[in-house]
Amino acid sequence: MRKKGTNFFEEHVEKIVLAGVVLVCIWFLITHVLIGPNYIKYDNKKFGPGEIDSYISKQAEVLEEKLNRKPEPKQPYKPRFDDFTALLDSTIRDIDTDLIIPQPIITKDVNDNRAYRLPLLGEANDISVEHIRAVAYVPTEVVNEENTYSQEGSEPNDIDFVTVEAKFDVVGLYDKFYESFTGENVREEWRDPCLAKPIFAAIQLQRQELLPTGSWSDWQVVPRANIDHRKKTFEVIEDLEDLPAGGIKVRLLQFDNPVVRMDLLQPEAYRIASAKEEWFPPSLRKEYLEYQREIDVQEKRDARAAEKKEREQGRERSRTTTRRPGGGGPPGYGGGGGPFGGGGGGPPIGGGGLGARSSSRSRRRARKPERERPEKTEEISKKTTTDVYEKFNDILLTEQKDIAEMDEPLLFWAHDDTVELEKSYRYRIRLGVFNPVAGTNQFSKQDKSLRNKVILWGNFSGASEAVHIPGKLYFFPTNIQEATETVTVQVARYVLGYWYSKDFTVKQGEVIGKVSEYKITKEEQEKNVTVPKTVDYTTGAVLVDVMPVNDWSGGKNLRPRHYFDVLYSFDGTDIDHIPVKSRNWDEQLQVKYGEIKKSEKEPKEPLQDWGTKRTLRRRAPRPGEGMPPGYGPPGYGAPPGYGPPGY
Amino acid sequence: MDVSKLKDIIQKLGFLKNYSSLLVPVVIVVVGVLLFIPTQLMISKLKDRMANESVSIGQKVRSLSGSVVVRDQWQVEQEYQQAYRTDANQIALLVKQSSQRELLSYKIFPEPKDISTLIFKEFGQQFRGSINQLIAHVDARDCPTETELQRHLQRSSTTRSSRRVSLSILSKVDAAITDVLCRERAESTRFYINPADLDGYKFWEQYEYAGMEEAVKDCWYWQLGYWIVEDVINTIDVVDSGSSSVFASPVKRLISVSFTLGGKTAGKKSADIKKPGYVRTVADGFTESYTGRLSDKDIDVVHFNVVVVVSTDAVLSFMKELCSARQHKFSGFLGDEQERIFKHNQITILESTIRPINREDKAHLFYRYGEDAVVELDLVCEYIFNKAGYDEIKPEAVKKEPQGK
Repeated sequence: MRKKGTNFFEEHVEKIVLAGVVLVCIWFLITHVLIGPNYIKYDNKKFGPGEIDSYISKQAEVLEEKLNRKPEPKQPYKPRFDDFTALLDSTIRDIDTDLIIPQPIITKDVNDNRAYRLPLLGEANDISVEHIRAVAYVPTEVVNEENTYSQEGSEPNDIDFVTVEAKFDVVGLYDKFYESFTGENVREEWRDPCLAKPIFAAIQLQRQELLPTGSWSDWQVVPRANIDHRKKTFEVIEDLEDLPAGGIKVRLLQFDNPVVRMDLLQPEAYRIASAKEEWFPPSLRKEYLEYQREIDVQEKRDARAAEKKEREQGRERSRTTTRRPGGGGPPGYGGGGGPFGGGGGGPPIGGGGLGARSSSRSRRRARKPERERPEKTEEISKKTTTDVYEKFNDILLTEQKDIAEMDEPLLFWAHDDTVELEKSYRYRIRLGVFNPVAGTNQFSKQDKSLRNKVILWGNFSGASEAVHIPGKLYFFPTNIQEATETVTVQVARYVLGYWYSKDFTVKQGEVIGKVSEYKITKEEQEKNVTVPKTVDYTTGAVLVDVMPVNDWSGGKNLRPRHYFDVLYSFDGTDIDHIPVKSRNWDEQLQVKYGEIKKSEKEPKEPLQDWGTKRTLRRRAPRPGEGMPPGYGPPGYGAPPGYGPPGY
Repeated sequence: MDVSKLKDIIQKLGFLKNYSSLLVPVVIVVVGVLLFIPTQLMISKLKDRMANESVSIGQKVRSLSGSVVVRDQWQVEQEYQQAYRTDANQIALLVKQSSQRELLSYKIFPEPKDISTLIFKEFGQQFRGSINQLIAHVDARDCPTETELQRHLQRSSTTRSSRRVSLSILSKVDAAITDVLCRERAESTRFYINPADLDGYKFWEQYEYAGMEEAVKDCWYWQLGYWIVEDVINTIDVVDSGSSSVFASPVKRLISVSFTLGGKTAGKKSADIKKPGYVRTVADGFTESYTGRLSDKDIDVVHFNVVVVVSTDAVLSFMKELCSARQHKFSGFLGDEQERIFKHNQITILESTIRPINREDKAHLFYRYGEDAVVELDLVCEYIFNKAGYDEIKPEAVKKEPQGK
């Protein structure tokens, strides 16, 4: 019901309030009853006070469960040490080192399978040996490649040396090498002309000494001569491993040199200073000595004939002067005695006729030298100079001579300057060539053992004839004074090319011989002969005693003999004896005495200068050495004034 | 209070009678409202508590749930870390050991133990002697000298007197013999070295004392130099192992080991001092280093130049070997400890140049390299020293030098 004068609010206030209350109640019901005011949002969920804790509690339990779980196995630590070590070992190990810079293709010969059959060398033939005793230029310093044999480093002195020569078929050797390395039996791809050339490596000279027992000693190698400046180079080294730096290749190069080959195969001899001596290889020296003897004989004959003729001419002149004053002049001689190649002695010109008292026989003899003998002498002289020297020149190797084309076998020689006095030797010799494939594996099965052998040896020659080296000091008891028991002993000593003798009166217990001064003669002075100031006649022997001896001698017609024996000793222990007086000496001593006496009578000649002999090698001069006058290519005439006297 | 006033008020409120029916609801409302307020307060408090206690715990739990580590997981981790530490220490030790090397003299570093200047000469002798021994050990030699060749050559008066000047016009035979001798040398040696071509060899031959500090510095830097030279030679030794001749060896010749490049020496201003030196600034280096390494608090860097004649097939092998490890002995810096074997690999190649060789050239006249194609390999390298390894013996004079970094 609606009352007048009241407003609507008043009329409906209760309703409004009610409605409001209802609304509030509804809100309240919803928010505080149905929904609840105490919820809280957690984990995108709403939780009441009683729920959230349980929820969280559950979560905590889960968490606890997680905590109490077994520990999760962690990926194990991968040690870096190995990587680091690998990096340390090589920092750029990933680089491909097989990358190769492009290069031209080089073709290489493969020679390792070559197999050569080495040649057999053959043997040295026609061995010949010769001893020479003379004054020669003997080195005073060590001769080597730095200091060669020269005039400055040597002085004239006595020397004994032996030269041994032999022949070797070089052409045959070349053929054998050719067959072995380039021949038809060698595979074509293996043929190597460089190997087919034999290169001489060594000469081996061996000697035996005659022992007091009469037998020969073992063979001993004779070293190269003291004057050989290449003796070090020529030392025989047979094993590859023993070769000096450079090995066989250097040696092949060194020895494949004409000059070295010349020095090896035909070594220079001592420069002879004795005027009457000349060195030749043994075979030629024998020839030379034969000529020399003939020439000596002829010379003496000529001299005698000339002297006789002069006498006869002198008589003739005196007769003519008596009958017919005036006449010829003194006998003249054509060109002075020239050396080899110099002018020969001409026949006497001028002068008078023959002696009237000469018999027809003596005239014949005397005439003969005038017409025939000089011609013969000239012929001999000519033969000597032309034949022997030319022969020598022919056999000498030169830088130009091709030994592979030699018609004759190669004559090679070696010297032995280590001989001892009063000993006898015999020799043998062989040649060696380099093994061209030494050190390689290019050998056939048969020759494998020669792999390290530097030298291929030929066979030794046969043994030479024996050579005796005579002594340089002899003594001869020539007389005895029985009363005083003193003996006259003549001591002979060989000095500077000549024998010198002197008598010594020796008593028991005294030494035989002593050093004595030599008094130079006027003639020697004039000729400028080199003589010793003193001669050492010291024998070293002591006269022990003089014993009378009675024996028989004379072969079939025996007759008693009485003489004295001189007892002497060198060491006080061994006593030897020599009879006094030449008729009681043995034949050997008599011959030796005769030789010495004969030698003493020969006029002494001055020593010749260095480089004046004609047998010098035809080769290029060594350092500090000029060519001797008249020697060397292209021709070799003797320098004037040299050569055996009278030629 | 006045009653009338009260009556008046009551009168005025008389209209309320009309709404007496509302009284109860109003009261309820009022009571409700009165109750609502504390309720809200309580709710708010409850919520705060829930948020502060339960939710925060819940969040912790939740956060822990996300990153929870198993209770004993530490043991696994400890094991891991232990292995890590061991590994790192081993590497560090290796690095340190790489710079712990045998000394040429134990009398000089870090400071001379003798006031005599002779110890420096002794050091020089030791330097040269060790180089010679090293060369002999690896069976290396130089080519035949002119004197050696002369001894073997054919002599003649003209050639002998003028041999020295006429070598270029040797006779055919002499040339052939020379060739054979040179080949012989090549066959008997593994590779060529002339010690005079190694920097330092001549320096110590002509050494003159110039004050204690300078002398100690010389010794120190040449000690480094010797280690470098030793490494280079040992490298060639390894590359040429199994060979007995130059012809078969990949590395034919060590031409030089130099600490100067084009007149430039690392760390030195004067071009004529051919000493090793530390590369402290970029300008000190021989070349622009792609490694960018300079001497700093951890390492010292030295540049050097090595030139070899090597077979073309072996250029890279040699470079690889140069950058490979080598062993060295160490007996303590006083030399009195038990000898130990360490490893080092401290070379890095910074620059390489390959040049062709003219075998007829005077520089190669008496050298024989065989049929291999060979080249001249010129390398600029850096050498690293670990300071921790050797700083204890580094002389003060060297430490005092201005540092780049």
